[in-house]
Amino acid sequence: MATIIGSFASPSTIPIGLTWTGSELISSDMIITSIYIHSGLSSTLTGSFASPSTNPTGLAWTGSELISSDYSKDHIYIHSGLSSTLTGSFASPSTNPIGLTWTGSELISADNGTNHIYIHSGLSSTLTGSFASPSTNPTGLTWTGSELISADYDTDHIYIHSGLSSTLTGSFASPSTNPAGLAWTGSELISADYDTDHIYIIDISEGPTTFTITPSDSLTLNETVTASLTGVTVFTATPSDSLNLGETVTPIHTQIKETFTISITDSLTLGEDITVSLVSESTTFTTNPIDSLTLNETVTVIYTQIKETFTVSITDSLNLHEGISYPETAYNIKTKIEIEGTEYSDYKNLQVKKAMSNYNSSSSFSLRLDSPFGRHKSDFTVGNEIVIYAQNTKNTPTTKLLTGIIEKIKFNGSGTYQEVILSGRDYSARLQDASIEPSVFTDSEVSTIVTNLIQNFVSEVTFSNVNVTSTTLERIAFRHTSVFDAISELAELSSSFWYVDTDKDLHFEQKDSVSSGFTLDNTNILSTNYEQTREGMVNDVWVYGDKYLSGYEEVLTGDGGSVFTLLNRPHNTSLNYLGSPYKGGIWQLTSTPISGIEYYVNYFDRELIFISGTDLGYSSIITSGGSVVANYDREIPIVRHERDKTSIANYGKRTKVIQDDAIKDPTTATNIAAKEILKSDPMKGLEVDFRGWKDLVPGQTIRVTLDNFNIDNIVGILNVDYNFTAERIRSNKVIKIRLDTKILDITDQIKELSNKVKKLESRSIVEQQTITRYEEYDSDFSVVGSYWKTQKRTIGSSFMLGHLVNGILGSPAVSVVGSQLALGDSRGVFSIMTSGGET
Amino acid sequence: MPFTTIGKQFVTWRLGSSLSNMYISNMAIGEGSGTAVSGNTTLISETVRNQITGSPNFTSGLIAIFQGDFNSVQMSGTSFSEFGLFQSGVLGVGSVWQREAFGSVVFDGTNELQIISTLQVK
Repeated sequence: MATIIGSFASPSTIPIGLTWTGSELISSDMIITSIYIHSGLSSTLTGSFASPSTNPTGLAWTGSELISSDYSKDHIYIHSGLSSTLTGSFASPSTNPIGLTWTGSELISADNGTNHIYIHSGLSSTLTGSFASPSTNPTGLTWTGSELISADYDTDHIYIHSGLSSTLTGSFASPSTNPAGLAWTGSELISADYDTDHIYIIDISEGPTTFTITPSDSLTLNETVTASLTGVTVFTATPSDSLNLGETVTPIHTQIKETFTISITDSLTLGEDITVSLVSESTTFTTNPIDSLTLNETVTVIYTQIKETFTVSITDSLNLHEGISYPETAYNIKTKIEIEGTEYSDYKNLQVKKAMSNYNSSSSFSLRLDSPFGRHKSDFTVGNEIVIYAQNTKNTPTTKLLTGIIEKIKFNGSGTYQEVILSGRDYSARLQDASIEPSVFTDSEVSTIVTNLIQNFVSEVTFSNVNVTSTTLERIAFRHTSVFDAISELAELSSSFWYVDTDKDLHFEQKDSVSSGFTLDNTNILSTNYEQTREGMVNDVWVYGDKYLSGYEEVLTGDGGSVFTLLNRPHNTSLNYLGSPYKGGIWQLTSTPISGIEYYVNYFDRELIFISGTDLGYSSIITSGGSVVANYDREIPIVRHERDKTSIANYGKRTKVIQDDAIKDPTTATNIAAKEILKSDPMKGLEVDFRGWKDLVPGQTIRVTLDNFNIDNIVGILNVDYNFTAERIRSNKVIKIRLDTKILDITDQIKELSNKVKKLESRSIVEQQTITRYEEYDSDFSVVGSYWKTQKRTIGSSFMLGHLVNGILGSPAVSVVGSQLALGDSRGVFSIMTSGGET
Repeated sequence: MPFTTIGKQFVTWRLGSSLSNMYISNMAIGEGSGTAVSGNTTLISETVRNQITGSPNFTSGLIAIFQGDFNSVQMSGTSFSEFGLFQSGVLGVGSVWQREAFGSVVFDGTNELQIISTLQVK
């Protein structure tokens, strides 16, 4: 559980106090009487100042003020920020104050005269409580946010307290023999040791815990050994006789009452040790080799709590004190955040949302950082690139979770508390924000359309993973559609799936149900919501596209009547009688027939009405047996209809009507109707809080088995929300997954309305029109003299050819510095005379 | 610290041609006074011109670092108050790419001089 992951020399020889400001380590030295400001977590110093008195010990940081204690003056001092200026002081609870820490609302101090730890009322000498220290010489204190950690230089141990109490939940040996100051960075414990004069960085996350079983005598076959694990310390089990081949030792983890089994792979002799690594102290696991271990043999360990299987490689036979280490996947989650190449580790909360629809995946993030006294006031700019790494690993994570753009920067402040919240999306945002200028593609394979759209309308996104599809579209038009929506539509039409990866490259690939090989069940699910609804389902679809006018001809044979009914409603009608055109008019446009008009068109009743009368003075009625040729254009709409009778019978009719003038051909209308009718079953939504870490790839499926909800299905992933806080990371509760089908909510309805309005507004835009474009570019290139310096050095007693003084060899000649001239280089070092410029 | 107008002109020409020897290869010092401005084409009073020491340092991106060294014999008696970067290695010949001026420093023959100039493209 406690692993030293780094160390460096302390600034001086008696480092006693330590604290962490969020970005810098502060240390004090009891003899030198100085307080040092380190550059981050390193030995490099960026400043120092004198301590208030002669024996500075504990240090604490409140977020805006440094607090220090003094061993000889028995006082606690309040500094103005990180400076030697004091704004107050008060007497310590007893005569040997040594450790200090700040919980966010209270000062905690330790005294190694009384061997007590004191809880102060805020920043004052008033005490609200106290308790005995774990041993006789408490030194450093630090507060992790939920637990007090103390060090003791008598026992050379570091103790983890249950909150602010004397109850211990664990302890481990300090890195060396005189642990003093402690500090907590949010993820690592820092410890100073005045014996080795070093500062140690310790990982106390729930990584592998090592314990040792030491048989003190021989074991017999299947004999059981019981061992107690105290907190996180190493413990020893004592079997009572020798172990034989295939023998099993079962220690009982008394702290959490769980049992695990260790298989002994070869005979053990009296006193021989076996060391194994425990993944988590609240975990049961079983190793079960069935025979002796030989070189490079593999043992499979079943981690029963979350049903994951780890493979442990044994690289040689087990020897005395030899350990088995677990793979990277057994470690807790670690994160790394880089903004424009600079790493930021002082975040309070990080949320990454991966939204996966049926045809694409996109991600967004929200990052909350402390910014006391404007720490990050000028660090970020809208448009900065952010890269988020996350991985369960022992080391620095290298797997990218998201590469995106900061789109919003928000500062919050209250009193001395300040924070900055950064939010934005991954590079699919470039596709969401870009609009396609009016364009039409005919007889084009889908991947060529995708690459064309990215090339012409999107910047910063490459397209080296756009795969050729088997779908060729006869015609598709875009009129200021967003590139995101257009590519989603193309993915839908070609059964593809797309996303922008963390290297900013577009993937457009054949959609297939790739299994993640992972099962969610009641052993790894922390909580579940499951919902079924009719909302959003469709079992009766009408698709109306554009309308076309098509020429038609009818021959009207006279029967003495004046009214002829046509087969279709006529557009652009013309009549010919014996080769001469008839003059037409509109029915009921005037109450009295206009002279010269020979027929009227009644469009809605599909009638041609020939006129005659005494007042008019002529008759246009076709003589019986005579004929007139009527030419007109009839209207042919593109319409498609699909319905699912079984669904209608089971759930009732749910009709959806789609009217879209952009649909210009029957094939597109058919495809759209076929896609909509797939929603003829009730929508199912499953929301799961998941324990552990899983790198989920867009488009994959997961098996879900939950007997109590009557679920045993393989379903697709819709959303993955990663919520990183110190507490969630430590307890492995970072991931929330949404599965199955998307249940429509108000945001989906708003999106649909927005799309409809966009289509209405773009109706008059003609794809083929030529648009004159004038584009102007401005770029900057300047050469600046960044920095210069001139420096000189003395020539000393070096021989210089041609020099009036140093160019003369031999006695009694001397050099410019008065000493005997010599061959060889005895010049001084350069010192800067003048410098300037800018960096 | 001015990268001179003529220096910018040289860079511009290099963008579109393969003009030979059109690069900084020499450093000169002088005793002239007067603020360095981008319109400078020469040092005010040039005294010594040397080839730069070694090759320019291009280790960092968009940065070129030039080093010039002047020995105690060259510096003896000089009131050093300006320096500049040149393509030509001949004293008084060619235009200055970059010039800097400052209060004079008198060298009495017991010291040698080193100049390090860093140019950055932004």
